Amino acid sequence: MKVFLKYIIQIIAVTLVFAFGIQYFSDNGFKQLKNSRYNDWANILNGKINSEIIINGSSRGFVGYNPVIIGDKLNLSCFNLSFNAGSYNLQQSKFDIYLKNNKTPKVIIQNIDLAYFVKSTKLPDEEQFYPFIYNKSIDSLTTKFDNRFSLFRTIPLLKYNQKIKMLEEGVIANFSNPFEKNVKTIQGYCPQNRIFKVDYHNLSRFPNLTFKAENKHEILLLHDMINFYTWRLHKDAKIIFVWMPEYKLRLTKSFDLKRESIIDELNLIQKKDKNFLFIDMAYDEMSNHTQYYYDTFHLNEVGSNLFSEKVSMKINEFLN
Amino acid sequence: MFFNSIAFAIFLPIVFFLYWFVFNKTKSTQNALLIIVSYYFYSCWDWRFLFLLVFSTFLDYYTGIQIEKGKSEKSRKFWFWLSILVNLGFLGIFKYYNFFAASFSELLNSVGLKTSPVLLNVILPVGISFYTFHGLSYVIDIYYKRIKAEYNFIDYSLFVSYFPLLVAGPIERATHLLPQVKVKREFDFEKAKEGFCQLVWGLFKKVVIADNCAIYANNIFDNYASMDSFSLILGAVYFAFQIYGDFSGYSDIALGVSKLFGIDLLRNFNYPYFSRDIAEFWRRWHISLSSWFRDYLYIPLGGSKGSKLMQIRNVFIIFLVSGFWHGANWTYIVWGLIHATYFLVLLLLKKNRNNFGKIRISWNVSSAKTIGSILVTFAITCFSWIFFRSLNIYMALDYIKRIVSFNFTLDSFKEHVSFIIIIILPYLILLEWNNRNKECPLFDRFSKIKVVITILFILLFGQFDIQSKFIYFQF
Repeated sequence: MKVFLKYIIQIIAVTLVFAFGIQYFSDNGFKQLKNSRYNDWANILNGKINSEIIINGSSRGFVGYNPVIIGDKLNLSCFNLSFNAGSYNLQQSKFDIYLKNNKTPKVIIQNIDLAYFVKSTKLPDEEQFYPFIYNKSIDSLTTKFDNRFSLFRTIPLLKYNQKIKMLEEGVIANFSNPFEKNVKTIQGYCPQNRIFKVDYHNLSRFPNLTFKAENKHEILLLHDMINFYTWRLHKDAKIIFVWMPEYKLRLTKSFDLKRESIIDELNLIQKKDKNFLFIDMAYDEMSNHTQYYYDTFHLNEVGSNLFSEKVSMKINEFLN
Repeated sequence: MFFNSIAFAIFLPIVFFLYWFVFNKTKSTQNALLIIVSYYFYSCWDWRFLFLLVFSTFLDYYTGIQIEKGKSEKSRKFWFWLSILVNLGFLGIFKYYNFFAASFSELLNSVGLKTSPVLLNVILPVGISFYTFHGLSYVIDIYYKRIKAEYNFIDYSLFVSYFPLLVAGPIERATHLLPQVKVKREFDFEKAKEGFCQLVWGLFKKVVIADNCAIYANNIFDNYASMDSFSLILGAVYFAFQIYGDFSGYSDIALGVSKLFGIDLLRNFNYPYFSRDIAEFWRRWHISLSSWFRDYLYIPLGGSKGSKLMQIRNVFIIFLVSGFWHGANWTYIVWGLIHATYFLVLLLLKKNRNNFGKIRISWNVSSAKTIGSILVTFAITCFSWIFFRSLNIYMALDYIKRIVSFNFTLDSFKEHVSFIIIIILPYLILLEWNNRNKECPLFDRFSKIKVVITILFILLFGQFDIQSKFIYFQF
């Protein structure tokens, strides 16, 4: 029996060494990979960002705000912390992890839209966390959404199960950059070099309204988010909420009815709080031009650059 | 509790520990523990069916003794037929009643008599076909005085309900399993090591081969009407690997687990896709069932002796019953008939016993011929799987019709061939081919390296998100 147990232990030990070795090699490749969301996470967790301006949002924030342009225009360091496909709760969690490891920013640019108010119940784009599952902050975030992450911590390679392409990319990342355009990030921002294509599935998701929505839940959430930042930032820090340009197909009567009370509330908060600014660019001139979008919801690289310049000018007026 | 579940990964080491360290004093304590855990294992599906299992066990135990004790032939016959009829009765009610009722009603409807069948709303108890056949072989063997009746109820119960083979075989024989159950098992390192290797290989075949191929096979079969010929051929090939990985994987895990407890089970698969003809295929595929039918049906019917007409009849009966054993559906029956036709050609040409020897390959013409016959056998097997996998005969025929329409697109290749498949199928084929003379490809030379690589493959390529059943559980 002893010999058998020794045999089993040997098999397990050798398997673990190989499995953890391959996993480490891939994880490490991702962490070191410049201009990637993995490297952005590594920098966040290692306290290497420390920007004066933080941009937060979901996928629209992720692809729409160019922090290089915004930083240059405002003469402040800037980083895009947006959580691709993540709603307000995930954006808050990500911001908390950022604050835990980095200096508190002076300015927050929070992107909002109608999708912002829908709570994320699943962890989108979960692969971005794979190289960091042994980090306590990441662990508490991921396991809250998905129990599999506890298994990922204990069973090596399981996180790369059925994701051979990703494992391969991680290994290659140790030597060269395996990512092509539209995946690379610049200070957290992910420019999309794509042409316009109508996303009917997204358009059809929007409710058809005939009367002004009360938006009690949404208004409550707005206050929550503002309080969230107020409690965490310094007294004189600026909180700026931005509604990005929406593509014209979205600008319907229903759209207006749905967001009217939200806009009213934001304007009201702005009146009361000198450190709060709301910029509504939903109906900006950009809305009429397909060359600025890759679908009806997201700006492409050209659009995001133009938008970043425009929004920077408005923020500049507010800051000075 | 599936063999590929976390629950089983916890269950097995606990039972292993208890078996060798706590209950290892005598054969009785070992058997008592195995019975308790076997009943627990079975109750994890549905505890209500435990009653059926216990009843079936008790029935065959009691009738076996009565047959042996029977003073007159009449009394022996009575107990024998009681056991056969009750066993087959349960199987008939749970598995075949609805099929016969619906088919009979359809027949009446087709001649103008409007009827609606009275169907039973019952779930098929897991493994009923397997443990019923255990019991049947035991009773038949006692009746024909091939074995003695077992008087120790615990030992007999273990023979029927031993958890590794309880739900999907292999279908054991009393002559093989009972003698092992009746002695205290001593730990044997080589056997346990082989068992572990077999368990790992079985798990690989299930979660890597079967479950990955299932994704493609299901997609192609579910959407066959929109697929081109190449995709449909791929669908049949994927299903061939799915069912092989699924069932032989289960058998390997069962055999491996059993070896860990010092008990050898009957080998159920012997690399069937390396068969050189269909007769050899049936000597290598689901061996415990094929040999069961051979010994308890084919040979009593006369086998390959007697007139040509008798031989043809016997072949059709055995394959028809074999098809029907798999399920109450015409597709299984046609599948059986197709194999009967394949086999009959060999039988009539007196070539059904040609390929008994080992497969030897070298650089010569005869080897090319061997490889050719392996590929042809695999191709005709895949053809028959189309019926096995299809929901009904019409679907199978339409599927075949679409294959022979010969329309091919390159996109379908990209869509239905993945990087994972390109890695795992050659790994399976190469390892099994190189070790085709061994029971487990991971055992023996370079065992540790092969086991480690296979475990890494399981971690990387295994399907864990889906709680997939083993196909043969439904039989």
